[in-house]
Amino acid sequence: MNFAQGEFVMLGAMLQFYFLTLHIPIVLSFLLSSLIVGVIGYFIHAVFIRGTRNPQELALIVLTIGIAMILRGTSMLLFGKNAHAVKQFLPFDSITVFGLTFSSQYIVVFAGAIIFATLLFIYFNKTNSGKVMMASSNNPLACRLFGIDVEQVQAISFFISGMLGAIGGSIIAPISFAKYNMGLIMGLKGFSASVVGGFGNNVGAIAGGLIIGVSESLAAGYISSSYKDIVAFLIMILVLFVKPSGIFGAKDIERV
Amino acid sequence: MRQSTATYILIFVFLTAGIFIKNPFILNMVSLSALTVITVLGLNLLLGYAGQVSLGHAGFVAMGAYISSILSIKTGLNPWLSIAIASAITTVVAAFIGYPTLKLKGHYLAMATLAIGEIIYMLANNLITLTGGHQGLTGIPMLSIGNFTFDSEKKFYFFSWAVVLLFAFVSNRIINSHYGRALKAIHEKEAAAKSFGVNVHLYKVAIFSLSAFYAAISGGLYAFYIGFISPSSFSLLKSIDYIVMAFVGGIDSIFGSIITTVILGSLPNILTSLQDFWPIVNGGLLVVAAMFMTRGLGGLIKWKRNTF
Repeated sequence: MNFAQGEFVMLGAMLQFYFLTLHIPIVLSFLLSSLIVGVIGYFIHAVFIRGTRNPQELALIVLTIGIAMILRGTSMLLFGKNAHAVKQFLPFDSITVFGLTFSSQYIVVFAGAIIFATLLFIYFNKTNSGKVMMASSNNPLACRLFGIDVEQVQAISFFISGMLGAIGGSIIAPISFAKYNMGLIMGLKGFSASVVGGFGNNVGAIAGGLIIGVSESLAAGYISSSYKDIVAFLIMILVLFVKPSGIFGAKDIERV
Repeated sequence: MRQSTATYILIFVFLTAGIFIKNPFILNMVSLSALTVITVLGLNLLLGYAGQVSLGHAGFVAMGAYISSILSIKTGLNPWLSIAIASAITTVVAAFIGYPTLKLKGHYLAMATLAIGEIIYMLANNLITLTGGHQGLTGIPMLSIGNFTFDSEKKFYFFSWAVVLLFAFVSNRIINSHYGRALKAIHEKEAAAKSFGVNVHLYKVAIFSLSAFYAAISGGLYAFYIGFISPSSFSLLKSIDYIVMAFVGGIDSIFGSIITTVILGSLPNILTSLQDFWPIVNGGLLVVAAMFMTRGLGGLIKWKRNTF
């Protein structure tokens, strides 16, 4: 578990904003920002996580909280405290379907979610390196016995999670704006979604995201928009209470 | 020297220093640090003896502060009684959160407490009729015992450090009781503790609730001392400040935590121009402590071990 994941999203959005102000084309700035954040993820693993003398769970949690604080603080110093508007990906502003008009960016978000979820699904289920990654997270000791370089696999998984976070961030930036403190709420929402769906389960993650997102919008519409975030967190706590493994989760979640 | 002896000496040093300090700014700053120390001591119990992180302790402080001040403003309840009620409610809420999440390994408690902290923060901002929203709640009465009112910085300074003394004593008693040793065993090797018949889950929930109780007391006292509370004093950044203080001070060291809390609690008030750098400094401290000294400042000192 990496508490800096939300900050990767923030960095992706921020870098996207920064590259666009430099008049770099959208596709290129998208690729650049996701690549840079991926490298940052790799670097965090190589320097901090590998460098930890006594890598116990508590120390690692606290470590990633510290890294998240540093990323957030640095981004505030570099880009300021204001929310920055980011241009849409597609050349037209809005689209009308069945009389409903919405920003064209929603198409990109929707397509992006489907594309990357499919890619991840293929990666983890069909490719060798994806299966190795799942195995090293399930049982690192057994993998070492089979001659797998678990450290290297972890480093790659940090690269991928940094890149995916940044992709999410730069895709969502035209809708949500880029702000230095967006990472926290993004990370927490992402965690809520994966708890609701079931941790370490891709289908569950999508379902959890949909459940959280839809109930948030319903709460915003029927109760008040200031309470919409509360609903997401309440659902997460409720799921933790009733079925901690999540709706689609496996039964063998580690219990004390 | 035993750590508990060193802790009591340190607190007495702060108490006697209060006689000589004349500057109300410093007195105010150090008494506020004392209130923070109470929260951090609670967090220490959780970190050091349950091996868990709470990212929502500012939320528990907020519950203590808001519930007690709303009670005494709206119903005219005695401040002491309303602090007691607020702390009881907070403890129950914490037990409610801890019960499911402490059954699971690792980060679940951290994330659930983060969510609770954010929920409380948002409620404080949005329940305007009760909490006054982001403009805050004013007109909170002062604490008093009989005819003696804690109306000056100096009076509150002695009072706050006396409360720290009380809570440090309670923590020490818990750590050195059979209950504390069971907790220590859980932290060292959970399976071993279990096989000796320790009810691991119950102990963890209890210690988490207790640490929320510490936070609520600290929040209640803060509200009645300052007389004004607003959501910004209870944001997530505060929760992270508490973690920095507890972790850098040493997760099982009361002595180290008091020292780091007073230093880290006071420095931002002295170096106000460096305000924007604090998140980076705090993050850096956490990273260094997590990488190289997991037992914190208090772990650097060789204490005389207690013989059981």
